[in-house]
Amino acid sequence: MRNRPVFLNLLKIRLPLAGLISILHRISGIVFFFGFPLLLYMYGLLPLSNELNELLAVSAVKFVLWGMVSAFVYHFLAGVRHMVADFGHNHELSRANHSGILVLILSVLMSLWAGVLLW
Amino acid sequence: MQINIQRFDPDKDENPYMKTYTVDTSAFHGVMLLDALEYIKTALDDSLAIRRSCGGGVCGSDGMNVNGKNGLACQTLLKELPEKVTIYPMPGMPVIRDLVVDMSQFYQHYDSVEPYLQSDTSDLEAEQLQSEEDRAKLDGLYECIMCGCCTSACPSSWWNPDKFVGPQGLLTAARFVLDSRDDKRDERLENLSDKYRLYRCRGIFNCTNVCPKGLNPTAAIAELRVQQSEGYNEL
Repeated sequence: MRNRPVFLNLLKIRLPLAGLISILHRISGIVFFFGFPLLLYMYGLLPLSNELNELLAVSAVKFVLWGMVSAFVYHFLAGVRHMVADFGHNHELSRANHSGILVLILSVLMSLWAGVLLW
Repeated sequence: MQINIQRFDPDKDENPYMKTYTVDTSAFHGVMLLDALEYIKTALDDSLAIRRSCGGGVCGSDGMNVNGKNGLACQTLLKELPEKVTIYPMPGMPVIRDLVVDMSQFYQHYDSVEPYLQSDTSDLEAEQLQSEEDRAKLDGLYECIMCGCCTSACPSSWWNPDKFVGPQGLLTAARFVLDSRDDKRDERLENLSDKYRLYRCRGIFNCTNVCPKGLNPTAAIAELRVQQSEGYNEL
């Protein structure tokens, strides 16, 4: 078999906005998955509110928690968008772009809101 | 105009490399990118390998990746391109030489959806009539020219090239599932019911974004899913 290289340089191939939404959907899912033990640990600390407050006093912990909430919010909204599409709606390119923009704006706003609540 | 093209000759080159051609667009007739590539081949460098046939967006031979987006060279207006153009072969497909890719896998997926009318009931000796409404269901599906731009632009096809049928094959599947003269709707849907063949689509829309015929494979894929959710008629 002759050498047959495949061109697949992702930095040189343009994707529509829905491509970015999909990539971020996966990344946010992975972030949330790996951060989940921290959430469980904090949940376990809930009855001991002093220890939880001490933990949350560390800005790095707070920041990680905020990152996880943001990842979850994005993953959830993009997932809802995906489910709506699975029900047979939203299959014009322009509408897919609009719903993608909506998901991005809503997640940024909700992440900011979560930040305000945390700090 | 500066045209950068990825070159690769399996007899000479270990790896693909970029080659730049400076093209005077007044030196040849024609207004399409294909005309510029023909000019390069005849006047500047006859070793360049491209596929082309009709030159009118019907045969689907000259699919390539132009400035990051798949398209047909014969349907790409030079005046709509920037001064610097970068051309790669279609992504995700093995390069035979220069801009010529091996589309075997693409054709295998097309073959796997049995892209022909199958009727148990019709009199095959006579014309098979269809109402105007039924005929209209095929609009946006039957026009595909199989250039491969969509499947080659699809991330789901890149990561699962052998398992996911890809936008072109699924568009064709929808074309026959929705055809009132076809009697194999259930079998066709069953043929797409595993985890990968239909459901690997993640709604990225690059197929629709690049289709030179303005078709919407994502909508066809959604329609197939809706048809599946409505259940089988007989099975």
